[in-house]
Amino acid sequence: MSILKSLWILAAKDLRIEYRSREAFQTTLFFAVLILIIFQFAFDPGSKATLEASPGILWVALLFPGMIRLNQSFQMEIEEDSLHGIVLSPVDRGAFFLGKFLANWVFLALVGLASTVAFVVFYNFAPSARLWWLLVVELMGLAGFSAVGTVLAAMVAKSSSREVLLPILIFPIVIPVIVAAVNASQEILLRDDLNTLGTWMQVLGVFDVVYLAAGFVVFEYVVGD
Amino acid sequence: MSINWYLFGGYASVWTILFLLLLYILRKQRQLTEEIRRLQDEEE
Amino acid sequence: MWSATDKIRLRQAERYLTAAKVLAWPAFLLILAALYMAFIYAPRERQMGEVQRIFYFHIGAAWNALGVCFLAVFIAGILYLWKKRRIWDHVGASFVEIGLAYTTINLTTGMFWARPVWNTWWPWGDPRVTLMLVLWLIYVAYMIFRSTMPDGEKKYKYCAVFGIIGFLDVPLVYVSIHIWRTIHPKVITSEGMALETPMIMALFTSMAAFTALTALLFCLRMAMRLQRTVVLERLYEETV
Repeated sequence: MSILKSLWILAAKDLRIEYRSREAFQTTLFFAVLILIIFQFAFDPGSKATLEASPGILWVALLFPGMIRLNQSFQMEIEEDSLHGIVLSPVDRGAFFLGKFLANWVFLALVGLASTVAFVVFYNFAPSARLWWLLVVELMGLAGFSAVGTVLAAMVAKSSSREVLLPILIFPIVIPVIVAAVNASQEILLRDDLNTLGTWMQVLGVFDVVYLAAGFVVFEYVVGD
Repeated sequence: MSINWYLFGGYASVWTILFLLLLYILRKQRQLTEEIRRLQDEEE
Repeated sequence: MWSATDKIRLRQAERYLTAAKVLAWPAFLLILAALYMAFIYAPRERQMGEVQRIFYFHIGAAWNALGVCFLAVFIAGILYLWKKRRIWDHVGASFVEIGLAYTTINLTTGMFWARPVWNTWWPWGDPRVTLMLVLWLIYVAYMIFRSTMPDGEKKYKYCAVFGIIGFLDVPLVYVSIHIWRTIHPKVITSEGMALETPMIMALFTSMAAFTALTALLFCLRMAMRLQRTVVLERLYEETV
């Protein structure tokens, strides 16, 4: 079986499970929207300072619920012991990684899309064509986050303290993503010109490629045996 | 001559951290050596 | 009696301890020399004044943390995954601890240097400061993760993977903060200074001194890890 085919089967399996229950999607989205609202109360609602900080708030709302989702992504495999089945099947470990990554990425991107709508409403942004750029930046940032997160979530999946371990491991590593994504979003949402958007997207792209490649190579040692 | 407190603080932190690390290592090292000696004695 | 593998481990540990004893005097003398160079031999920096004398040990610590210890963790991680020999896990774990100590030294000395010179304890826009801070976070996370895992092949594999993933972050963090700084020029930054020859000599001496200290600490930690495996296995056998 080719890598592409098995990765597609694995990702489709995960997404089908999510589609049928929809519970995880709803709770993750609800958490994201909750964060957007809580930050309005934490600062002065509707003030200029809140507006200036809003790109950062958006990324907190994308990444914190996303991290909870990543933690769950190996949980169901372990609870039903299907991880064993996948490991025993003749699927390439790299393909397994890419499949899991793809499922996580699509899930987070859909939550991100929905919470961006909530973000535009609660933070009072004009519905301009620039928001498409924001979605591109979100896709790129969430790709890097999911790539790192898929490897680390598999590592902590069987640990009893995984809820606290995963954020401790993941956030120091994704600091470049946070810096690049927040700055790019800031420019899209708050500045007149898009001078540095390309540079930030390059940083995000390099991060994505580096950690996708690293995950692809290293995943073999994380699951299996 | 007046003391430059920033310089003092900088070097004080260097020695404090190194001292704590060394203390930790030497204490553990002594415990281990004793433990190994005990195990060796038991066997003889 | 000790088993054959135990004997080999204990003999290896003895060898590391001997190496540590041999290294102790050169390391001590080099540190004394580095102190002499930093405080007396090197001239007073014109703009920053006396406080610039922190610089030598500051860079010595940074070099050892990043260029020796964390690089070694990265390489040991690859070697562990490749060869599956326990010794590479010992190497990685030992270097993480030492590197973390140096990173802490680098950050605290940097703080005391930045406050009088740039009027801030923590220049957030500086890529080097931020890189060291992020490294500190990554390897503290490594230590926490390590302490939660029970001994076994899984632990060593996962720690090796995390050591590799963490080190890959170094250029990414540096570049992203660097771009950030060039975009927001208001952020206080630490620009370089012109180094005179005696200053460079003092810098190299302190780098060499800390490198010798790294080797010494590494040998001590390796000996301890080898002995600890023997003791733990023996205690485990006693309880069974």
